[in-house]
Amino acid sequence: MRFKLLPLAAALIAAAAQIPAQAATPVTVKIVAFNDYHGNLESPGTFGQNSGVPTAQRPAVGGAEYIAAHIARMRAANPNTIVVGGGDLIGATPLVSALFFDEPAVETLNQIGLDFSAVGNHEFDKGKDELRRLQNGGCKFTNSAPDANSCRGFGSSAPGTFDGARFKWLSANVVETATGRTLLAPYGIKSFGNTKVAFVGMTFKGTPGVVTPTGVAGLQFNDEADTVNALVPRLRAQGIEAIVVLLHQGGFQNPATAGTLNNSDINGCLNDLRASGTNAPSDIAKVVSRLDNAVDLVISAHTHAAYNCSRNTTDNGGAVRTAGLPNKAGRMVPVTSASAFGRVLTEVDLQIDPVTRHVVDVSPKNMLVARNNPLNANDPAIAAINDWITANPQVKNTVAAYKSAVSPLASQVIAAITADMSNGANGAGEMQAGDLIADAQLQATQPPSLGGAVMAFMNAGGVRNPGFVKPAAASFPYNLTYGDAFTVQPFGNSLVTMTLTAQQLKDALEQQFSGCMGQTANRIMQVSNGLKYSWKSSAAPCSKIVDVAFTPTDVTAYPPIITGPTDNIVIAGVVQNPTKTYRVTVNNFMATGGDGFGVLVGGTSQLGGAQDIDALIAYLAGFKAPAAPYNPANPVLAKPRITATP
Amino acid sequence: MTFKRHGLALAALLALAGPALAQVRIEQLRALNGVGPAPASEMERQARLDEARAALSRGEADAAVVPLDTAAAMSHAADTELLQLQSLLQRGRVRQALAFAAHTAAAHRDTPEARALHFWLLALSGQSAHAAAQLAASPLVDSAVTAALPALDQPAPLGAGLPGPWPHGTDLPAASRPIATGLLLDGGALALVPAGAVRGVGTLWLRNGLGRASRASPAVTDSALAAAGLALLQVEPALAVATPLQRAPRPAFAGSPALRVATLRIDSAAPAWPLLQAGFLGRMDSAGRQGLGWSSGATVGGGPVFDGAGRLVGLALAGADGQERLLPAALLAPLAALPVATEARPRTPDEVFEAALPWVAQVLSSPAP
Repeated sequence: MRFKLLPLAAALIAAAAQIPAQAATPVTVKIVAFNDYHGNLESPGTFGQNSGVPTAQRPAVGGAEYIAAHIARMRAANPNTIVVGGGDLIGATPLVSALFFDEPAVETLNQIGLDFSAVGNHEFDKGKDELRRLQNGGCKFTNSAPDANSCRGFGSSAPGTFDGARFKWLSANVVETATGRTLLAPYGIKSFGNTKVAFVGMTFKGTPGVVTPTGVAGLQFNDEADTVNALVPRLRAQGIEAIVVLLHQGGFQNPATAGTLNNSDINGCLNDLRASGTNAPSDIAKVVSRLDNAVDLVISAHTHAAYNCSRNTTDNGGAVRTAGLPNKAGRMVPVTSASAFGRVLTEVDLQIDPVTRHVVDVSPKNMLVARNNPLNANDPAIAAINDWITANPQVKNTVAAYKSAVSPLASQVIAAITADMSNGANGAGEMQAGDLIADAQLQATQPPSLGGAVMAFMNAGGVRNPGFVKPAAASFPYNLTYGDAFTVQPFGNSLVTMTLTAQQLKDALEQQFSGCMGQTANRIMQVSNGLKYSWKSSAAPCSKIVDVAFTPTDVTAYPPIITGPTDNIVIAGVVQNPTKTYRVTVNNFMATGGDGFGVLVGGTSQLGGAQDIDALIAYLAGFKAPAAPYNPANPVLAKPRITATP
Repeated sequence: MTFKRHGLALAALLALAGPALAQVRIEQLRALNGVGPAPASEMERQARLDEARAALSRGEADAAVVPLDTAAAMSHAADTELLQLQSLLQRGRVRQALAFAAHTAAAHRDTPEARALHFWLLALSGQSAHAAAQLAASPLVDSAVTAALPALDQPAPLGAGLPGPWPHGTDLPAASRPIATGLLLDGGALALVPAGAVRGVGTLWLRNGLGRASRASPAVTDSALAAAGLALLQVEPALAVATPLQRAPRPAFAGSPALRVATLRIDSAAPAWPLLQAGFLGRMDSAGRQGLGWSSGATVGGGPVFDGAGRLVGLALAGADGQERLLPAALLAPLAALPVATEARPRTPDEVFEAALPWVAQVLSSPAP
């Protein structure tokens, strides 16, 4: 047996030796890069493929949701996709990001799916500790107290939180002098099967010269090329041969001879980024010229210029050539930059040999983050992008939420209060905050032209937490802001005034309690000044209301004025005059049967009115300095309005 | 670094100074910084900036876009970005300008004009508290904005030297001063103004929020408008407005948020953007006028009032008691005839400010010689 097998094995080995060695299929990795986002959650305007494109033909570009959509399209083409930044993603940001300490910029970048970014000079605008907070998450403190503009959480896991960056800021050349360690991770590694790609992130060495000294105190900025070159052996020791440098430094396209054509095409590399006339090398070229040959691609930034120095270079939009910037071995390294503000994305297709782990091809292309096509309103590519945004509105919603929160109205004082009015109900179901809201709604609809209401009901569930309360550190009288009021009345309901009979009134009050006319839980309405009622908890459903007394009260004046004798609508559970009618105000949610108040659907002569929040603001305006503050314990408010008996 | 800092500051000043010869400017820069001849590319960049300035002075902001983009692709410089901001603002793109101004202010810290412009635009477009906080964190020395920011809610006139739109259109005498706020109508051929402000005044000019100026003269005014205290002015040539002004379908409820845009009271003939004030509307009086929950501040008073959805709800007008109240649009025939916007999507103040800019005009007069 053994004798027979040996010749067979030898024959097989010999045959195998004659088969030519097949090259392994390269792993294709897509790198999507952008830089100098500067918190531009919204479109920065129009931008052309090059400066020769007429203004009218330039598409609107950018905006966080469009960046996300374009990247999603690229990711769909290749799941081996990684998204990286060149730095200056935060700092020097528009109000919509700056007011909230750039948390919106970070949250939208999380949602876009960024993996790694270099640290730019603007990342140090607020100092290294703030940069660390943005990396790690947590709320901003101002004067030892949580800042009201931090942790809005519109793009984080929950309101009141800030998740921090889910991407990693990389700062290989920024070292804390006290510890000798890098401020943030020096590099990140992404694995695609057995193939790894390393991303080394850096800012330019001269950063301390362009930022506030306090922002970089205690930090040392080391030479860019020396830093990368020192890391190469460490990366190789981990089996990594594919190395990408994310460097916050850049250059500009210039014609060799000044005055000749330079349309700054986003895929150009005119004069290899050298200066016109002198041919002086750009700042980025100086760094690249000293880089180790192991570096395969440099994604640059800082100058806000777009360029593509690679095998895909297209100077002035038409002159195709192979370009790159020479490294210390003289090899041309692809170098890209994607303008700024989310206008442009660089899409790089990297081919990696899975056996040698070397990069065998780098193919970058810059493309506009187009929101429209001025030359074709029905461009299917744009339609697909818009469809994606419709199906994935998360980023758009985050931006919209921050845009809304930035309103200057939020901090305007609307009234002063002498005590907290929480949305916690007493045993009878009455809330201090609910009383105020019901009075406000009655005031807004009491004039005959606005409804002629005599009473108002507010659903308890619409009085949101925490009610009208001061912050712990504040004192009374507390100046209530529009933002405070909006927190309590955030639903944007409008008021509806309707006519109800006495019987319907009693039925509506009975319908507050579980088991009556389909009601599934106790939902005790808040009632306006002038109405008082009592209910018996032990009574059967639909038989709980004992007495209802109504004293006509003009709440458009303060103190309110009693304008007529008390009308005992219900006595001992019996409706005294079932067909007598009353004008009653509720919100549109209740008017359409919300919270199980089906009785209210039967109200007649309905008249729409103000928004609930507007009614509240108008009412509270009577308690703004120099007027006396609102005192919820003032006897003129006729409390308690609801009483319960066992 | 020294050259760069000084150069940026001077270049930024020159960016706002109007057209001049590029060569002269570069030589000034070079002389200031004691360095050799300018690189050829800098000459070219300055030529592009001059091209842009000329376009802006003609009121052709679109024509400034390409030269400015070309210049921006040659150097990340404050003077380019300040002109890009002027181009955006002349095109009425306030929100983009606000976003870009934030970048220019922070990225070119050595150019105080950039920060002054950013803070001023923020304050005028409804974010005065944030502007004040920014100013406190990053003070401006020798800037008119430093004095003007805290004075926006005071009735005294603001001083000269504030940032403003790029002037174009009809030239105005240096002695002219803003006296009222006008609301342009009929595609910019007419303006509705407080009658008291223009009664007996000789020569009038109107300048919209984009910086374009025209002559104005009294037009025959409807008696109902006159009774309401308003006058119509004929604007020649018309200050054309591309976007339609739309009104709310009904009067605003008491307590609802409102935004007023009015001309600044300023001791200068220079173009100035208006001021947006945000507040809440009060109740209606017996004459149908509604209370305004804010003072006139440093404005000449008057001006359109918009609801939270950016729809015109009326005009602010001072009564005999000096208190400004809202004249509902429904009571004024030219405003009642405006198209009605039924969409009530809430707008941010900067969006309302942007939309109002082409419609709101400074009314200026010159004292008799």
